[in-house]
Amino acid sequence: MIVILDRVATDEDVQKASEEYKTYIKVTMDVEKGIVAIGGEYHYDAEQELLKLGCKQEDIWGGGLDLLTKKIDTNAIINIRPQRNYSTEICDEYVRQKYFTLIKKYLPAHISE
Amino acid sequence: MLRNNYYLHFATDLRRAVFCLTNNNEDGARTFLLHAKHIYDTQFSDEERQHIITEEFEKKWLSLYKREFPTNAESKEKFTEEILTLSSIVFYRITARLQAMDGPLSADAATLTTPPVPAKETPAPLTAKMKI
Repeated sequence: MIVILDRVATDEDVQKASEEYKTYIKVTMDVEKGIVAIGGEYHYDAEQELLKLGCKQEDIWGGGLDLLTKKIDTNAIINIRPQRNYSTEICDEYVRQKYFTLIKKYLPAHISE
Repeated sequence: MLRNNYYLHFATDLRRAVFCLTNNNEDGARTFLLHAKHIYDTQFSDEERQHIITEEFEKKWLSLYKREFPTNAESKEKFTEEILTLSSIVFYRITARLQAMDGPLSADAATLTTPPVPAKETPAPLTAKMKI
């Protein structure tokens, strides 16, 4: 299930978001508006939800959070952008910083330093 | 020398398969998936499978590697994402495990599957020696 966060995630939010993968959640976010979507089987699904909320596709980036190791990753197929980001990894330093800042803001209890 | 580095090779093979699929090189992707399967069959112990891949992802992996590549663009993207997700999970779990056992990873291991962020720097001017 996809959960849109506008506040710190509760345990219930994380539980709902981990329905698809029990020990891992996909994290998709609009780095400019600061809207974070967690959960869903594919980043694409969360991206569609964010677009419905008025987010711009160019500002939407994906990654994940491993609930076992509490490590954040920044890998997603939706991160591949012609002329901007050729990799599945977020390579733009500005976007990476925004991504990590938002994930730390909304999921502080679920990440390791 | 890293212990259990076959997990890093496994994760790297999956990443290479993803790279091939995103560049429409299906033969290459199939080769890397088969190599990953070979590592999985010959190197992984049951205990490691349980802790690193977990039963849930093991099922996913066993259905993934033998699946025909989808021809439809959307299905292909989803299939590729499933491989990428598995690769990320295995990579971060094994690095966490190695760090717990050996301390911080060497720079070589840390960059094995994580591509470096390209630095935005202008090329250094040619020195007198370098000029022809």
